Amino acid sequence: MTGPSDKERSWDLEREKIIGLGERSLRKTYYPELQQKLDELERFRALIDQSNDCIFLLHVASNRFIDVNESACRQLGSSRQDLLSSHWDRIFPDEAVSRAMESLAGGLEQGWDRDTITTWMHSSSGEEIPVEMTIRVVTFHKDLYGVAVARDITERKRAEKALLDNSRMLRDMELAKQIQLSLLPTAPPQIPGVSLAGYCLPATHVGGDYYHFSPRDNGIVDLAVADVSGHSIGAALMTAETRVVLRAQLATGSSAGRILTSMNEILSEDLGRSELFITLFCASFDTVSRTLTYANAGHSPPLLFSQAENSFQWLDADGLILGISDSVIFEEKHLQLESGDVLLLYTDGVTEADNGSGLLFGNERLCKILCSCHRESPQTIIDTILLNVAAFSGTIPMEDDVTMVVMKVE
Amino acid sequence: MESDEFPLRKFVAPEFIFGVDARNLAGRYAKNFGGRKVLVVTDPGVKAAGWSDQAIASLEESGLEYVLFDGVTSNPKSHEVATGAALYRQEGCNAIVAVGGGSPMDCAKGIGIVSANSGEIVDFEGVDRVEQSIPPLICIPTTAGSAADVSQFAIITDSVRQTKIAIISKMIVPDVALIDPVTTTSMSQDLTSQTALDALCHAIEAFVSTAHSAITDLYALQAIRSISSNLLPTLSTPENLGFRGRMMLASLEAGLAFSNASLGLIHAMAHSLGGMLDAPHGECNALLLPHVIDFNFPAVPERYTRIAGAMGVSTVDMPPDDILAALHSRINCLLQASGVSRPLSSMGVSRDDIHMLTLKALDDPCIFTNPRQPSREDIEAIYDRAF
Repeated sequence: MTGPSDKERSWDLEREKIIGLGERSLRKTYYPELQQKLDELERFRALIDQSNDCIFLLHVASNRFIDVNESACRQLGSSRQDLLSSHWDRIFPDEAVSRAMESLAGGLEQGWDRDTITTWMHSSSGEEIPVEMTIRVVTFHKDLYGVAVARDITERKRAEKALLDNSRMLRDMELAKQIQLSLLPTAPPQIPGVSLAGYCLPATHVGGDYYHFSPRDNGIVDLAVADVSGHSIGAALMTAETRVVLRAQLATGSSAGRILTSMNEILSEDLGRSELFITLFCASFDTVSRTLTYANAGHSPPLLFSQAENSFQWLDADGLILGISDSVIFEEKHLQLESGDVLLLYTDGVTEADNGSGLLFGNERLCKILCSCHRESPQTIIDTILLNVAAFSGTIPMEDDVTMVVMKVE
Repeated sequence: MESDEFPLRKFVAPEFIFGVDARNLAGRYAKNFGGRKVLVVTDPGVKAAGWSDQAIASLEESGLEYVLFDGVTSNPKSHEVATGAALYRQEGCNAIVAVGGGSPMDCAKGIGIVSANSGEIVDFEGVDRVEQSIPPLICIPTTAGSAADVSQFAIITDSVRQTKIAIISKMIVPDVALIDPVTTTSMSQDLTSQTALDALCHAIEAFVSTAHSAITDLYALQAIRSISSNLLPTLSTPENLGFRGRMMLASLEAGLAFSNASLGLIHAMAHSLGGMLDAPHGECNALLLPHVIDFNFPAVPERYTRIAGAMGVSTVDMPPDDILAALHSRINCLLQASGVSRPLSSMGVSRDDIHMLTLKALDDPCIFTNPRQPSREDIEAIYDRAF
């Protein structure tokens, strides 16, 4: 035999190991395992520290923090050491602490292991951070601990407040809308020799459009359409002011041109301050003589359809928009109407309705429709125009307030 | 340099406390090792003698929780290890106290291995197969023989294959042995002699082992000397704590020797036998001892000469054959006087079993350090002679 047999070699190898010289012939030691566990703990610590939530570990018996994560230190502006040596009433308000204590003390017996409190944390710089804190009870080797996870809810609070403000605003706007609509004539006056209808729809809750019709004692009926620039609350307030002034002026019994002159004088200061303007068409119709007297402060010229001549006429008259200049002379015109004539007062929300591809409803379409339905009642005429405007715009939302007054001579 | 004179050797021993009342330190040690809930492993006999209750009292005194596992039988079975490990896990234990002879201590080592490494105990058969350190293990031996409290050995019976497996690993050396001679006073005559002869075999096999060292030799010879002179007095005055203490010390010395030098053919063959018969380990060793000496003697006659000397045989100027004969007769006298001299035939083994017994003995790791490499036929012949 030249060397040891396989059997002998394996005996030798096993013998080496028994003697303790094998590679794995280690004395019992926990160090490698401990090192591995420590590494795992360090990784876990990093995980906890990277959380945006503030995490506190509270030892219930001693009522002290025994661990906090980095996020808590950062958000509270304190060092770990500092937090661990402070009582939690330094960080949380008393009511939150007492509720948490109660929960921790009584919770386990009642089968409870978790509570959520909305409170705030006091940072070292005096800042109050609103938080939602979840507290959970854990038992670790017979010792009771509370794990508190506090999440900064500043953003959420802000969003909630914005939502609340918004809904309050919406409610206010809805109220304003109802008030504004109530300022319009409730129903057209019943006057022999003429029939009337009016319509006003603000684009948003409140608008800058306004219309008016009212009879005088002597068979005369006054008509007006106004459009305050914009659809803001400011515009709506100005509309209300315009109504008051208009009604007061109409009560003096003055003619249309004078009324506009006075209104311009009265309103120009307020309009200048608020940087608003008003276009206003004002007319009075004598149902006995069938004479129409009118003046225009820069408003879209109303459309008159003459049944006898089957023709249209735009009722224009010289006059500046209200609020441009203190003293303005408004041209006053007179016109003889006949039975079957239809007068349409409107705001630019009708003619400037958009179909989404830049095309406007326009005067021509308005004329055509009026031509086709002039025999109908004033209300039906308005409804027909509205239907056509809606069909033209399709799904495009209305951008401007829409207002119309129709007067038909009988 | 004479390389043969200083071969590489390692000596591993746990911390041990020897002396009267050492057993009462269980609680203090369990606490110092970081124990919170301790699994107390014992067997019904030891429990009845009150030793495990004393260990529990010590744990309670230190404010520690405990769970008792007393389902260990002699020649501990793999399913007992599994049951103990399941209890250990289920109860959230983190330390083990073993109270008893070799069986509870080996079972406790097995429970430690399985709970730290998972798997089944049979997966760890062989040398250096335990990867993870076992939980803190405190041993309180109540016999003077197995020395499992200081050894890197655990012998478990595979209940499926009906065979003993040896697990040898430095990882399973206990953390502390609390060796209290008082605990051996509850042993019966039979158990006293069986365990003492086990210790004698440990010492003899360690001394002739191919892994022996100068340090293990010191302990082995001292143990042989001490057992030879104290066994019979102990048996005749079992209450005498002096003799009990000397036997306990001899067991410790034999343990330190064999844990480091390992064993040999006697143990390889006895494990095979014990696995098949569930017979007392000490007795199996004892009845094989003279026959294995006959076989091994030619390989290391000078070592056996020193053993004979330690046993009180005068060997001066004796030729080797006479020394063997004298040693043989000295051992047989001791066996007879201690009441352990049954032949193999009376233990329920038939000659038909020899083949299977031999194959298993050849697989036992204890065989690797036997001074003479036996063939299958050699082992068969030894079993045959033991009939």
